[in-house]
Amino acid sequence: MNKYLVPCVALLGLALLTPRADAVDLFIKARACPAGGHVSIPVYGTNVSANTLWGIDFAAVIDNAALTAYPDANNAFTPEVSSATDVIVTGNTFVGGGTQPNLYVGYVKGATGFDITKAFGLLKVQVAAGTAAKTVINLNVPATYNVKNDGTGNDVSRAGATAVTSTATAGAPVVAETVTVKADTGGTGNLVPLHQVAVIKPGDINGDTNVNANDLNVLKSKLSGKTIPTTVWGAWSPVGGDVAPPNGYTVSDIGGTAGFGYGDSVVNSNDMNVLKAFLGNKPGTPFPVPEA
Amino acid sequence: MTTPKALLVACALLMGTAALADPVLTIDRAGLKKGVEGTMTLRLSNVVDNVSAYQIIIQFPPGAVTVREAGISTAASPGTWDTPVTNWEADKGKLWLVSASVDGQGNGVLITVPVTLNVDSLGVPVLFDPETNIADVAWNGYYLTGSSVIVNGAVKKVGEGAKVAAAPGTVAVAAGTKLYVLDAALADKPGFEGGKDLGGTASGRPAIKDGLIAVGTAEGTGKVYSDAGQEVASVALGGPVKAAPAITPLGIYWPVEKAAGPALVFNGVETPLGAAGDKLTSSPAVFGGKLFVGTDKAAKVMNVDATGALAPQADMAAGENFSTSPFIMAGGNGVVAAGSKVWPFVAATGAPGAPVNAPTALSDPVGPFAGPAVFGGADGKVYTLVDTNINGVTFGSAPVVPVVPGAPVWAADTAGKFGKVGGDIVDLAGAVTGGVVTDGTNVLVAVGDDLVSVAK
Repeated sequence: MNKYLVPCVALLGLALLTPRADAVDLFIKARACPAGGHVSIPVYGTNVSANTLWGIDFAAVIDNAALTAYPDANNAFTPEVSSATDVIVTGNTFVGGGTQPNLYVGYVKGATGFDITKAFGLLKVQVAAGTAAKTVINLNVPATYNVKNDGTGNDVSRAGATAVTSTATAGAPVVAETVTVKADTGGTGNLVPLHQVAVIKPGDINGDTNVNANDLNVLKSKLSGKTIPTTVWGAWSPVGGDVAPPNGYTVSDIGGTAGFGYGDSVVNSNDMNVLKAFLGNKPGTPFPVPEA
Repeated sequence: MTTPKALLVACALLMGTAALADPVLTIDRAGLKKGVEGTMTLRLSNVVDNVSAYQIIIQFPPGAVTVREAGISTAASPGTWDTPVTNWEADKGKLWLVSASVDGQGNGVLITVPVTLNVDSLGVPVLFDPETNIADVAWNGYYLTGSSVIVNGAVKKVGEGAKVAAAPGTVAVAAGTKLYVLDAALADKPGFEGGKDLGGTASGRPAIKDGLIAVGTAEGTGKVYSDAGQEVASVALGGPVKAAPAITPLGIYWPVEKAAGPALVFNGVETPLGAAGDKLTSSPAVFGGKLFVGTDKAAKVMNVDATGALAPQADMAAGENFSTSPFIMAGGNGVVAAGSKVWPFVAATGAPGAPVNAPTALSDPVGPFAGPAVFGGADGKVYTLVDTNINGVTFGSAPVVPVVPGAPVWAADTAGKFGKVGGDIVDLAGAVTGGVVTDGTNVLVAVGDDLVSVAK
């Protein structure tokens, strides 16, 4: 990991600070992951001030020690659109001092900047074996940040999230911008909270470790406005039930137009139909499965 | 041989031994013919709470059937169900059905699946994948595993309108121009391979007794075979045989409807039972020195001498239209029905007692030999006569055909309901006209062109 640390900081430091009042909305989706497995969490941003986002880093404070960064640092964060000059730093440590988060991601595009129409990438985390089913683990991404970037490449500390944009290529002035960590997508209906990991299999809405007609029953009842016991529909349920691909999803374009991979962060009839298709072994309908 | 239809029937019936909370999934494939699309129905019932979602997986022998997936439909009452997600994996012979009820009010499901049979008989049980799952709105889930629904049974295609008789180890079926004599597994018994060609259309139920099997035809021939398949006699009777003959050690009494009127023919001797135009309505019953047989004008009583010759005595309840065959119990008490009126009589004398009125027309009485007599009712109930009281228990919604007595009583109605009175009942989705019979071990029912055998 350290081999990435220096170039990352160097790239950040090479840029010149030019304060701007711009911002970026950061979305880290919720994902279901059974105990002992790992899962790739989509990370993406919207409302970027310009399509010149050059680098982003963020930290997370995790409220359960069972969730950790993927130990293989080279695969802990996978860019959706990668280039040879990307610099990625991940791990349970972070750059510089300050309050140490549990997980840190620094991702700087070397020359081209981000394609903001795509997700940033997939953050891979793992859930320790033996973690109780139905546990919901929060990736608490602080909404405030502390940047001290004097352009020298030194003394960079972050206790939260930040983003940097540049109108120039690498080496041009760096602009620190406000990051708004979103709680949900702002849609309507049964919204799925963001930045959570539910310790269940995708589709296991009632958390009984099986994906079957019981889950179909619970989801259908939820969408019908039925009162459901909290033992059957709990905090894990929306995460487990958000199984439909986002709009625009295709097999060849997993980024789609509204997200990344599966899950549009709203539990609705699309998820119902996907779950039914899965239970019916209907060909051609993707369904999320736990990662090996 | 184990086949799906009997399996379906038996599965539902045997599941009655499980807790009441367990839902029952029954599958009926009555009437499926090789090469012709028919309908298989799946019925989900017996749920304590309302079913809200199901995932049903059926495994057919690969290649045995073709399913027209686009024609699958679902209905339920009450409640509304989503259009089911279906998936037919033809290469694997696997059918997937998934749906959920819109409002959680779906109390039961009926799924119809267009199926073409590609083989003469499925021959292998329909398997339910262990993943099969049904959930109710009280958040209970049920697995309909293979062990809960697969049972033994048999089915054989015998043709429409089959008339069935059974004795321990032997089942005789008259259908069309054929007489089939089968073992308990519904396989042809030695000597009866492929069935016997009667040379005419079977017009009465066969009779089995004393190593003989006898059946009459509409063309007026009485055919008698040994239980080894040898033709013992082919008797010209002079008119269509209307019911089962009575086999005795002295000879066979054939109920024949002649132009001059109904008659019994015994060893070539004819005993008139009425005038021209009168109708034979029953099979004869012989008990001790008496023979009883019904017409639409009277219950006829005959004295039987040592040679079997008949000497008529006074009619019992003259003027009644006796619609059933008589039944005589071990103690010598008999009953016979005329529409809704049950006439008890003393077999030794033929003397009738006071009639007992039932609320509806009744089928042939049957019973354990020691009684009581049990009837099927035209109102869908099964009636039991105890002394002078006749009480009905609801079975189906259509007329109930003759039943198999015992505990429980087995019955069928003309609409195809079949099962145990007060127990589990399945829908055979076909016409049942001949009632149910037993060989002591199995209960047999002819539905459509199938003969179904289910362990009793």
